[in-house]
Amino acid sequence: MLYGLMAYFDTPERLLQALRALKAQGYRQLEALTPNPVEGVEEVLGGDGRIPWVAFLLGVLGAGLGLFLQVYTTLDYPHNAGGKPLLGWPAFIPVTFELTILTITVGIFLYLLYINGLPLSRHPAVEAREYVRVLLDEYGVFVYATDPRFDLEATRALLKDLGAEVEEVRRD
Amino acid sequence: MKTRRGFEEALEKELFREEFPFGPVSRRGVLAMGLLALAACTPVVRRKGVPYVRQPEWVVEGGRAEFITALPHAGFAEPVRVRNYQERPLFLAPLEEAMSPYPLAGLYALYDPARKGKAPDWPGFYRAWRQALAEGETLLVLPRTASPRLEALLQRAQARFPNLRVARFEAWSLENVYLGAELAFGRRAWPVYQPDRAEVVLLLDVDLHEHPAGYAWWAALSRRRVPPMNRLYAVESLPTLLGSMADHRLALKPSGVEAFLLDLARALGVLPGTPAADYGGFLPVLAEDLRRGGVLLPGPHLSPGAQALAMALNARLGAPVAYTLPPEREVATPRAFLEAEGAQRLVWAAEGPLPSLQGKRFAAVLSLYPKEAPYSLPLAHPLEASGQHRDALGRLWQAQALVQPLYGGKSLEEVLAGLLGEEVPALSPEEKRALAEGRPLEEAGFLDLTPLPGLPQRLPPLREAAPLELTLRPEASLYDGRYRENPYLQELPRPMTRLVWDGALLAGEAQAAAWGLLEEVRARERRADPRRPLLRLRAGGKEALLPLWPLPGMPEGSLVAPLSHFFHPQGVALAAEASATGRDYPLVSTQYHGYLGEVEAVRVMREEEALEAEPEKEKRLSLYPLWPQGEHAWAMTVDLSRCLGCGLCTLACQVENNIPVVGKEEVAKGREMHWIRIDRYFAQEGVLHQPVMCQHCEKAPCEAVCPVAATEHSDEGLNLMVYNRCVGTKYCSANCPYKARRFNFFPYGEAFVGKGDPRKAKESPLALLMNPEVTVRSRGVMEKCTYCVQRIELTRAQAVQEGRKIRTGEVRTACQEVCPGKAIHFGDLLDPEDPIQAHRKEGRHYTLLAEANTWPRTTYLAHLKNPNPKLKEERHG
Amino acid sequence: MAKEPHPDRDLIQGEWTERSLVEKLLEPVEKPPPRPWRVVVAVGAALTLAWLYAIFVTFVKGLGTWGINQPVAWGLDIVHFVWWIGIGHAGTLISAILVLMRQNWRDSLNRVTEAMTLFAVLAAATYPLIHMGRPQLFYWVMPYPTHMALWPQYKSPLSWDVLAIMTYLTISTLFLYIGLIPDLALLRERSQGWRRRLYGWLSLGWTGNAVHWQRYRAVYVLLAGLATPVVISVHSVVSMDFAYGLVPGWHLTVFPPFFAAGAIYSGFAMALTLIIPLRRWYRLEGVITERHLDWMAKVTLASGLGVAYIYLLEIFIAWYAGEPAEWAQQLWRMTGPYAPYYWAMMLINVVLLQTLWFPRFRKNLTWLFLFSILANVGMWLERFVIVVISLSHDFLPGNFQLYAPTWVDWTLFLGTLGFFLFGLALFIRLFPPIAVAEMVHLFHKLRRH
Repeated sequence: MLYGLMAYFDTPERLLQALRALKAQGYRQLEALTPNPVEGVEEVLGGDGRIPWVAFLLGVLGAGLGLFLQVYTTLDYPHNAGGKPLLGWPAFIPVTFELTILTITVGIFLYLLYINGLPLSRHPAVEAREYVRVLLDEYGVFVYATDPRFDLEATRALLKDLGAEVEEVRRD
Repeated sequence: MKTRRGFEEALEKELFREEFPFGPVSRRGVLAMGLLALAACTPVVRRKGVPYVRQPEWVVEGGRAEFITALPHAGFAEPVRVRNYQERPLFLAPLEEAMSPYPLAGLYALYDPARKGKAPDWPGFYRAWRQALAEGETLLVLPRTASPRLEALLQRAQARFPNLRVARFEAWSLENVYLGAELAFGRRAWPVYQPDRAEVVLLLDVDLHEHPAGYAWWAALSRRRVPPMNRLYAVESLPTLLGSMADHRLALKPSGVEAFLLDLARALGVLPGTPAADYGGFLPVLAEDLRRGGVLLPGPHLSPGAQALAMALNARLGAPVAYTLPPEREVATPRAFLEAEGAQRLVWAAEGPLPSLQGKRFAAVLSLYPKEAPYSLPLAHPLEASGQHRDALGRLWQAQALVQPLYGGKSLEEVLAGLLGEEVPALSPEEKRALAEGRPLEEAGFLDLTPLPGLPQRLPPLREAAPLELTLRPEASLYDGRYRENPYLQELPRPMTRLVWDGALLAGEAQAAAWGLLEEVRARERRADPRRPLLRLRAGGKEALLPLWPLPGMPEGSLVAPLSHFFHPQGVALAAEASATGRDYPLVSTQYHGYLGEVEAVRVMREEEALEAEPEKEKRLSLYPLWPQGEHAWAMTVDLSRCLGCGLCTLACQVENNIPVVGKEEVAKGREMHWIRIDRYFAQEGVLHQPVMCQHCEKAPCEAVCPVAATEHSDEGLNLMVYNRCVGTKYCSANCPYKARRFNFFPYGEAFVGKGDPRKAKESPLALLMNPEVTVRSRGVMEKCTYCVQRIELTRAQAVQEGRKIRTGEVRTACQEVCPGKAIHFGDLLDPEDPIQAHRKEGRHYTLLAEANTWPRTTYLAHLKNPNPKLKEERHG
Repeated sequence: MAKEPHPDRDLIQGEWTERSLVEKLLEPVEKPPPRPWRVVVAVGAALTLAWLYAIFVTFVKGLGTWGINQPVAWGLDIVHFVWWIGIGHAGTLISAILVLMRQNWRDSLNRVTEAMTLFAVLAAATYPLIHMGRPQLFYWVMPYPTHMALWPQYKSPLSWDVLAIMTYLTISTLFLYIGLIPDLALLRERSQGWRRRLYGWLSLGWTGNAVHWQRYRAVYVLLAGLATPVVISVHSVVSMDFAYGLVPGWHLTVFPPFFAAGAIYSGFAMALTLIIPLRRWYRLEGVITERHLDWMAKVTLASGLGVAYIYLLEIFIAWYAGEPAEWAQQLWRMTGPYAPYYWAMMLINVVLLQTLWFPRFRKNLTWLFLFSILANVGMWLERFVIVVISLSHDFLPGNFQLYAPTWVDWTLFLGTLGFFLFGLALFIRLFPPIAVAEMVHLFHKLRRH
């Protein structure tokens, strides 16, 4: 069964050019696979502005959690420690700070996994024989066979025109 | 039946697991040891170890009780109150003003399993003894006894057994005192001083524990160490505790002290002639001052001539001294030791060193602890036997048995009665009444003595001068060695040296330098290296190896060796030689740093200054509102003017609060557990002492840093320590500016109870010594002074039961109860009647480390000096 | 395109292609290890076993087996805790702060230093656990509901410590892990057997999707931004353990920056100690160039100067404050029985440090290696001075007491050292010690433009 086509480009510029061309042709179900982040990809494939906001919300949550933890535990069992006031807020700063950071860190990591759909046990592109190249030094585009515009020959020709080496990815 | 008992035990286990950290075994112990712990004088016999589920009102079976008795120390009675819990004596407090530490520490010996030897065969011993008496002269060596009942028994025994010869042995003899009286008044007598009635007191080479009345003296003297003050002069050959409180101190070698006395007698006209020296102006000023109403307090070891001179001087000064008959019928001397060594048949019942028993036809040893001897029989602990003893003030006290003998011991009276085949009579109604009323059986009978003329002619030679004069003096803790087995005393720091577990040869710094040892000692002190040079000491034909401890304030040419480590049958004053051996011996002290430097920890003021001074306003800085105050505000004051650093508070605290003894090695590492540490500083003004315990700071630095809230503040101002919650980060200790906290690095408590083996703690009878009101701390938790919170709570419970408030001064901490100088006062800041209010308004009131802004509840009153304005310098000689 | 050569062009030296560079960087993982690696693993494992034994002794017999006492209730345990925490800082600093500063030279150093951080913090975290009197109750410092309604006491710096270290450990682990993911995916594709399974699991199915990369990058920079205050805060919080206290020699407001500077200093020194031999053994001179080492030496110098300044400031403040106990403490450090420790610290961290001003010394790898070790000895001494010497001589002369560590104390230290080396050695056998994806990216940036 055919998964799709894997095209290998040797520079990121070619990749971007190809992506633009494919988008212009109306391809939707495609993935760019690169060994490292490529500048300009978000212009073609769309960026993601949610991360800073999620981090901010997590920060608010963490700070609230930290304060709540300390205020609640202090009031739940009030006791006089060293004559300091029960809610001596200056002493609460470090823990609030650390919990804020901890919450953002763990939260944003989980969020990253979530929006990237990770962990992922299988991915069709990985079935490509030469797949490792996109992790080394080449830039790949994987066009899914399920894309409405997909046509094995026409797509292969298009990708070749864009300067790629093309491989059919099938399930053995 | 069996299952039922099992059930009861299980129930007991369940019920008492929390309350008795050393396990339910302690209560079963009470049963199993048969006991043992059934008080001889209590009608209540506990049948079971199971408590009531619901306690009937007012029935306290085997609960708390208090009894009065008198415990002998070195033959003299110390009247005490004994606190019992479930028939176990747990604490002693002085009945009157003061007591020595020995009876209190003796509580350990009461339960000590080391006392258990072979099962005593008393009938066999009596048979053998009677047989020996039939064969020939048999020597019975007794310690000093001041018991008429015992003397009567002795007389009967000697009448019945003509071969019974009796000798009295005591390493620290009072013979010179009696001989002095004989010289001065023509008959042997025992002086009873009333130092509180003297304006000026001259202490002649005497320390607290060296005189039977020493602690009582301090109780009397300390009353006048606050304005209006008396004036103390000390002339001594060793820095003593009493001397450290003196306003003027003159350090002279022992022969010099006696020569000084001679000069003083001349200056005051008791002897003809003029003084040979004026001691840098000291002598004339002292002589003049003594005329204001002075008294001389001579040490018992001064030669008979010196004693006679002191008595004659006292008579001349009209000093408050009365004389009684000697409390001993026959004087106990160290010479009896030689007699015992030579005897063919010997029954040794004295304390101190043991004579050689080799080659004797009959040899028996009667002692508290089993000894290597053909016949070793246990003596009863003083709490296990009734008796009568005279105290140092000449009064006769009745003693009662509070526990049946745990290890089959008998008192000396019982032994003699047994020899005669008699029974010791039960307490008479009069004796019972005296005990119940807490009064002596018989008041002192005073003699009417007048000095005989012609003393100058009769005066025997005083102590001879020698290049090195050795005096053998009792150790502050081990006395003459009789308390060697007592770990409480072994680890109680000797007040001047802060040494534990060992005695040392004390010498002046100049002397140590002359031997070429001072520099090395000081260098090792700096490195906290405990090794000290071992000296070979030769005196009177005997030799001993003793480690050297250079002590500031010792006069040159004076050496002091502890009687516990060096005994000589000829007496305690000897000429000596000493040489370095090149070997070392580890000596462990709890304090290596003895100088205050710029730290104003101990304040010293003159009387006038103190009267004029405004009470110090404690600078209390805080941005925060105060916490609400509870019903009481507990606080403590320590009057450094009345504290002479004897360490009784440390010991009482240890007994009351189940504080373990940790051993020499652990102390060497700096891990002693005493909640009260007495800091001793050598200063310009003399030796200063300062008890430091938890200061119960209102802004406690320890509380703020505990991550688990194991230490926190009560609304009554106690700095609480929650042992259960402690995880042992030790942060509190690091952050305590007074370093008043103690940490259980090892399972010290269990090891103490188990005599070194924590796994044996559960079977050990020493578990009975533990105060059930106080948790025995486990390994890894922090502990510290609690202001005896258990006593506060017991008093509160009592008050609630009686529907009243806690009375002023009703709560007394353990340290406060035993303090001979009444230096420690515990009180309530919210109680306007409490004397603590007055203390806090005194001009000499101050807080320790006020700059740390900790707002301590324990505060100090400055050490007062009342120097003679005519004597400029603080130190002489 | 006639572009100017990138100014950082010489950060990668030698003739490389992307592919040959990747091969080179994966060598430590894919080729048989060099002989020194085996020695390090053997020694590390042996010391780790000794460490476990010392912990066993501590737990069975009690803290009495250590040299601590009253008043020195904190001894080598806390010295080493602070020492290890400080060492950890270089990793986070290189990975986080230098990312934010867009320093290209970090890319060849960040992986190994991050791993160093992880193991250093792990080693450090053991000390507060085992130094407890009742370590079995360690969880009482965590907030969890109990039937007694007891909670941790949040005014204690130790409670702050717990969270600061937990946060630090979490963020440095996550940072290391996130950086590893692309490399893990590459390794997954290049390996067989258990390694493939291991890398497969750990890489979470990373494909190299360009959109994922964008988000990944955003999160990476975000975490770098968060790790930066954390790294500063952690040692500040650790310093508050002392600064919050009253002990003369602790009670100083300058402690947080002092500790942070000291941490960076010791961390960079430790990184140099590790990287200089690593570079030799694995022939990494092409990617870890002398310029890298020079940069590290400069950072060491800069942070070291901060430390040295505060040493002098401490002396001044002790005198200026007019508090007798503070001044007595300062004199005790300089002239007391521990004076050799103090002066050795001054010699290393103040005097010898000045050699790093001179390029001649910075370029001399033997000196640099030697100094990096000395600097960590110096930092050890600093912590000894702060913890032990201060406690041995606080307010009341009556309780001054010296401290003598025991064999358990030293074994615990050697043990953590062994564990640290053992952990690092295993780490570089399993995971590339240089971040492959980032290096290739850098190579791309430097050479293709």
